[in-house]
Amino acid sequence: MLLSVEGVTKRFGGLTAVNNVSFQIQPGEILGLIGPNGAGKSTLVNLITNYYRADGGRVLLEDHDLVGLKPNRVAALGVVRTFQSSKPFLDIPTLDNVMIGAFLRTDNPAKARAIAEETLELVHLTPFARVPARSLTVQNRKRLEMARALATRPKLLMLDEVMAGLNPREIDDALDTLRQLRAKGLTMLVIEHVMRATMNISDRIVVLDHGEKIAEGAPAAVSADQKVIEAYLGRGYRHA
Amino acid sequence: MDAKSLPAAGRKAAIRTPGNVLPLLLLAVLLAFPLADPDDYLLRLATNIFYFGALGCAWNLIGGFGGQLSLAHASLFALGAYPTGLLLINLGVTPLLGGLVGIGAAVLGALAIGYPTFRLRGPYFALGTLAFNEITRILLLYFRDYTRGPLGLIVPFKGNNPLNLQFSTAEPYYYLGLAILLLGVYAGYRVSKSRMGYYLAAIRGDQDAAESIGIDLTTTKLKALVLSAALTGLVGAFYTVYIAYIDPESVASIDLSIKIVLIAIIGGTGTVWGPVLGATILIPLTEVSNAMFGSGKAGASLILYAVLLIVIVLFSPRGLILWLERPYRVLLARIAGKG
Amino acid sequence: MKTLSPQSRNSRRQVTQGMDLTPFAQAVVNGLLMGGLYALVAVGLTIIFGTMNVVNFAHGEFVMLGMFATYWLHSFTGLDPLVLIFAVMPLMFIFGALVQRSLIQRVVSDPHETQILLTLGISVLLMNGALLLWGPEPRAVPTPYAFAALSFGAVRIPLPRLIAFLVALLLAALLWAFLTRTDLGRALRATSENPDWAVLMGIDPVKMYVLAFGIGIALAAAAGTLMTPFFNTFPRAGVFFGMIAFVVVVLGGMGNILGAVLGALVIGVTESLTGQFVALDLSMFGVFVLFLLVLIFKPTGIIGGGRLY
Repeated sequence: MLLSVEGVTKRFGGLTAVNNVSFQIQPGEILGLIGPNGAGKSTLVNLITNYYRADGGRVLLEDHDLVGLKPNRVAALGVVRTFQSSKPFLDIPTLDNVMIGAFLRTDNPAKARAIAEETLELVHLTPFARVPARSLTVQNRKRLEMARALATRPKLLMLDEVMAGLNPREIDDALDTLRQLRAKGLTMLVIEHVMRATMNISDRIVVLDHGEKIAEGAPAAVSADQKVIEAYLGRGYRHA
Repeated sequence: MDAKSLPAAGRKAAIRTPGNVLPLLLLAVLLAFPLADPDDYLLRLATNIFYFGALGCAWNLIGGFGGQLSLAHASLFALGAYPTGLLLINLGVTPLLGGLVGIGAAVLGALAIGYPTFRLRGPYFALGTLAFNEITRILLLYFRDYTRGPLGLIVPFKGNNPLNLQFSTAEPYYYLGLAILLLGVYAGYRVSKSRMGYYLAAIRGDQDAAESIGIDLTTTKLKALVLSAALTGLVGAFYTVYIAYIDPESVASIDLSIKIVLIAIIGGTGTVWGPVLGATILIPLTEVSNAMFGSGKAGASLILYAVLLIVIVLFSPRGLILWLERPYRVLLARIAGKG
Repeated sequence: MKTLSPQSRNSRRQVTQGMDLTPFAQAVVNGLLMGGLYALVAVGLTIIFGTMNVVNFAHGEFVMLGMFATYWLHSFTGLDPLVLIFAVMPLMFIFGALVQRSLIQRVVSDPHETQILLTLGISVLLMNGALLLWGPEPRAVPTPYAFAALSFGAVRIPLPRLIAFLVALLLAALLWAFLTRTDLGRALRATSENPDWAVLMGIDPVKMYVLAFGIGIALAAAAGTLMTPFFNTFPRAGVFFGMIAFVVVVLGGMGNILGAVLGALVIGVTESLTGQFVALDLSMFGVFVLFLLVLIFKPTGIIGGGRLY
């Protein structure tokens, strides 16, 4: 077991955003976390990384309890997330953004640069290495954010909607990158609103609705689940 | 942050890496300048530029690279200045030792501001520094039995004595000031090249994102502030002996804090050379304004500062060094082409 | 000696002989009376911060301008400050609105650091502009009731301060009513809670920002007017109130009006007790120590922040 989420709960005032959710992530797998808007997906990421303090439950990384640690400690232990609305360091060059990630494992600028260059290659951003992150497109900002997280050499990478807003070709590119990362043995939690992309890449799927886990299992089984169809697809149609 | 905040690494590279020759040339000119036997006024003006440039460099470590707006640098300066002056006057302790006490005091002050406020998001640090600056000024005025309150400290001249940093000519002060400025520039250079510099740029960019990739926000900011305070305290110590008179209004008032901030932002915050440029512009400008309108309480130089501050913030928030970058790069390219 | 404390003409802390508790009671009363003025200044700062998330470092200078406006209007018309407040507030509202629209609006979506630098520049400009125009000498606005006082046992309540206190709280209450009972006030609150939603509701956030800044400045200036009967008017008179207002706003939870009022009273009493029982010159020291303690132990303020009302 790499990560074990046990009965995690978060309330905002009267609203329970995440209610007693449990699941586990095995080393080397891609776990898809899906659910309609407002299901509590991002809140869950914020709870695992301690951007929010959980009202109940535990999060164990290889038997090490993460609850109560500061977010930077969680990252240092190897759990790194991206943000739904990407947050690159806009005023500095793309390469420097990624170097900052790499500095988590080395204090040597030359080594950090080497790691960063290698990582940029992986996400196809090498041509943009010298330009400020501000000048990148939305897609490239998401890639940059992923590269920055990857450069920290995480044990578990949590990608919060890295495919949202991308066109089908860009989604295919992103999926390719994820497959390459999996081939290198990286464990990932992929949070998506776009269901098809997630189904395609994930080994297993967890479905959230109204802050509760309503299904878990192989992609095929989950997409056939009546509760998922009702909650997720049903509302998906209403949105469309 | 956004366009109005300032990049570090992007411009850094342009301004300093390839052309190590030009800065060395500039240094040679500065070293040789007193040999040309300029009049004392020019030497003193240059010395003032050095000291204030060094203060700008010190502020820049936390305020520029880290984007944490400090309005307490006057008080940190005073914390370096007062112990040095008091030890020298009352006990005859050399400023070289007294300065260490001053640096220690400035560092303790920095911890007192940074520890409670750096944990918080929002304008708390800036507000905390404002409060700290006032506390320091009030206490310096209050403990008049030790500080002579509003009367200030007069450092008596006890003859040419390098150990006391007292000299009968202006040249040694000039070289001391230059050395301190070099130290300030060097500190900025080292920070900008190191992991800490990158971490500060990340903090200035987005604190949530910085934290998500393992940066300890509080510790990083505290380290930068402590370094900044130590350098500020050192300048305070040396400046006290140079200027031979300090009082709470001149060394611990918000006006001095604003002057220090202004030096950094006129030149360009978060750049190694910005504060040097800022001091080179602001200090002579202040002289001109004082000469034209008098240096009394009429506040002409402060009106100048205020207008500069407003104009720079609104129209050139990255500082004037931005405008020198391209010409400088062209110049370097041309030199490289010929060589 | 030059200090930040406003120069008081009729001594702020009356020496009272006699029972042990009298100095204490007198200090508390003095503190509460000052607290009312602090509340008015801080509420102005709060509505600006709460609506557009801008920290106005020039706030104290608007108090000072309110004092000067009162002084000049008084010297031309001879009217009482309590009458002149009806002229000073609209004038300063317009001035504040102009400052917001021409300068502050440009940095509304910038980081706090940028906003603070800009408002700091405005502060220095206003203060030294006043110095240049009107000189440093303190000016008095004489009123027939300047030295009148009510007595409760040995505790003395100076009448002008009591009036200032009551009018200040009345103005704060009127602001509250405006925010909660009128459509315009509701629009302002909607903008403070979420500018994007406000746009969807047909509210122009820029207009709301101008309105909020104008109101904030008018309130600061009103505090200036109210204190002219017992404080001298001079260019640095506002510095002290600007600083106090920051402390109050943090204590009150950054953007919470009720918090600001309560915080102001706490600060007034803290200042007064420090001045009475520690040392008069250290009264501001006590305030700032309280400020640092709040930052360390209760950074969300005594009320807990985030809401404008």
